[in-house]
Amino acid sequence: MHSNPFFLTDVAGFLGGYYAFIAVMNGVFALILWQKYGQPARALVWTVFAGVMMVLASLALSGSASLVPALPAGVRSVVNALSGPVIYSLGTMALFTALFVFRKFFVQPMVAWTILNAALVLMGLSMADENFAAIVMKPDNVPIVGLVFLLAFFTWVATKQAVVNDERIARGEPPMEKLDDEKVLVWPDLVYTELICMVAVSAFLLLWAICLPAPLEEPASSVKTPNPSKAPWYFLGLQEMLVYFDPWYAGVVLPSLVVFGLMAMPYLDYNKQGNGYYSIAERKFAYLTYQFGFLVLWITLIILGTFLRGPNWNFYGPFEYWTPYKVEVLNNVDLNQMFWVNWLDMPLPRAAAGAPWYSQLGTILLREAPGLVILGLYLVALPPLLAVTIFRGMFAKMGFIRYMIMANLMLLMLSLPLKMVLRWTMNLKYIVAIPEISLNF
Amino acid sequence: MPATEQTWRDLKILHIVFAVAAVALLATTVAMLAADHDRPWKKYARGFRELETWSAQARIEQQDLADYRARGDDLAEALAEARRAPLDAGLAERFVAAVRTAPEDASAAGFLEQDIADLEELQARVADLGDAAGSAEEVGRLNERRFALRGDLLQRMQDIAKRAKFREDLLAGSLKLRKAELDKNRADYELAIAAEAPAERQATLLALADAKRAEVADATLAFQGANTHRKNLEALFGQIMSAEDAAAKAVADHRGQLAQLQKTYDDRRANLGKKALELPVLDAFNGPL
Repeated sequence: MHSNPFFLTDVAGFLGGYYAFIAVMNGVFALILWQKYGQPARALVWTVFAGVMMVLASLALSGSASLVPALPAGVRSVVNALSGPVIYSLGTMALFTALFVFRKFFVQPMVAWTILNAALVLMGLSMADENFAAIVMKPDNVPIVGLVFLLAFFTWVATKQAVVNDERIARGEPPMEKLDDEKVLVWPDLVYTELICMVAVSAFLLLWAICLPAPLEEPASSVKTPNPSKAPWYFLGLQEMLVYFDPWYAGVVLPSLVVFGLMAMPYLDYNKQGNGYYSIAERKFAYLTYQFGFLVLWITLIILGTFLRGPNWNFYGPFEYWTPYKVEVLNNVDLNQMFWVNWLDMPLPRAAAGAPWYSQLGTILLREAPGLVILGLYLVALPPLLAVTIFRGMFAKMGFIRYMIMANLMLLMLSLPLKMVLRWTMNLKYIVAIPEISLNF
Repeated sequence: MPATEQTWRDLKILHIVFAVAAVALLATTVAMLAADHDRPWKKYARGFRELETWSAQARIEQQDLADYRARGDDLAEALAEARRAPLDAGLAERFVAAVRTAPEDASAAGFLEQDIADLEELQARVADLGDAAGSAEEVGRLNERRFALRGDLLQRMQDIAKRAKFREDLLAGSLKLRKAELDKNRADYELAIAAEAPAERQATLLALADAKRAEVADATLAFQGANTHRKNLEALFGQIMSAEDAAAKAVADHRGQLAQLQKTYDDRRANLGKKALELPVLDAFNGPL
């Protein structure tokens, strides 16, 4: 089943150019493989692929809406049905793990090129879906699509260099950066190139602004708010955290901890290796912690908030229509409710009306005792436990204060995925809920 | 390794890349200005402005017809008639009576009475002469004196009301000062109580505060009297002038419509300055459209 034929007619020209661009890109790649690297067999494969892309371009430009290449409706339906915050979050964590474990495989240029082409083709086929295109081609979402590809490219470059260096170091050779450490002149080698970049990027941004005007709307009105109301793209990760945490924690404490953690990094780092060159093997803990925080807990949440959160902040599949009438059941309960009511079959402890303040405070502490115990174990008991077990060597090198700061920062960072898992599995709203003073965790 | 004079990148290539980037920046800047100049809504804004100009001009021409001028003449004549009309004797006497209630204006009341009497005499002589043959010149001369005297009388009334306002403001200022002094005396007394000052000291301060309270009461009465007096004078003067004010307002409204249309026309119509500000590049900086 195809999308609306009028939409396909509109998008056909773009898709034709898009596939033609992929074809040319692969044609050039094949030529380089053949002429520069002397790999005619591989060059032939990519030439054939370029030809297939030209066929897709021709189909898109044929003038017939039914011939525009698109993902089958069944595939789109399955993707929509399988999509959800749980699959998405677990999927990104799994992808992150796979990319780390099999990094030597993924950094191979031919593998990366294949993945890039697969992503481009998949995106082209998806663009023939009206709902997908409406989100991806929205002028203020286009830069985020670019961001995804750029981020993937630069992560790949850094990982590749790190893998090469790790292999060299394992063989007893110096890292690549040490081979070419000749000093160069600030002018022209640095400043002139920066000037050129500035001029070229300015020209590019102007061209972009002309071709894709900013989607300005009418003046804002408090009586007519957009649905969904979205933060700027770089804050969509924070907005996604609001699903799982109270605003004071998701909007104030966690962002502050991110900044504090980044500032503290140089003082917490005791590892002298891996300075001045790319390396993963020599800095596995630092690498994994940072990449997990940046890629999984920040970037993927931005992508989720941009492309997959629609009206009423509901989750929508990539090919799903953003209807504002979609309703999701969210029967979330606090831990105190689970403990006292569900498990002990007792009413929640409540202070008598007009009870003195110390009696009310005592009742609140009793009511929240399960959550406070869990939090205490998590933030106070777990760091020493880790220090004598898996982080024993790290604790010895870092000392008590540096270790405790690092451990607490890491545990607070991990509180986000843990809270997500608890929400999905147990419908847990807050571990500690003290609405009397608006303190929920 | 020490730095050498040899550059890492080929300078010739860098120059070429820089030149290409600079030309691209120039081209995109020009394209940006052109795109800004050719925004689709501008032609509608321009068309609407022309429509408004045409509409204002058409209405000006419509207003400028003979019946509009005749209506204006009628209203002007009505205003002149109102200014020539005899003053309401009852209101004038009430005004004089009100003036007399203030001792400061007692002398002015005498002049007012004299003017009113002179005016009534002139009015009576004009009425006596009426349309008698050969009296037109005399009537004209008497009317001239009467209009002049009428104007002087109204001006005198207005001056009296202004003086009343001036005295009221002075009394308001005085009342404010007395209240401030009372606050200070009362605070002194309360501080003395708080500091457990000797009873004699407290009594002295209380007496000072009581004396000041009496002054405030007197000042309040004086101010309220002046306020009532001034409002009374202004109300009576307003009644005396009501016919003339209504006629003047009718004339102003009549002329205001045309003036407003003329202003709209002047604001909307294109001129050299506006055309200059609508030129490419210049219109990027908040043009008149």
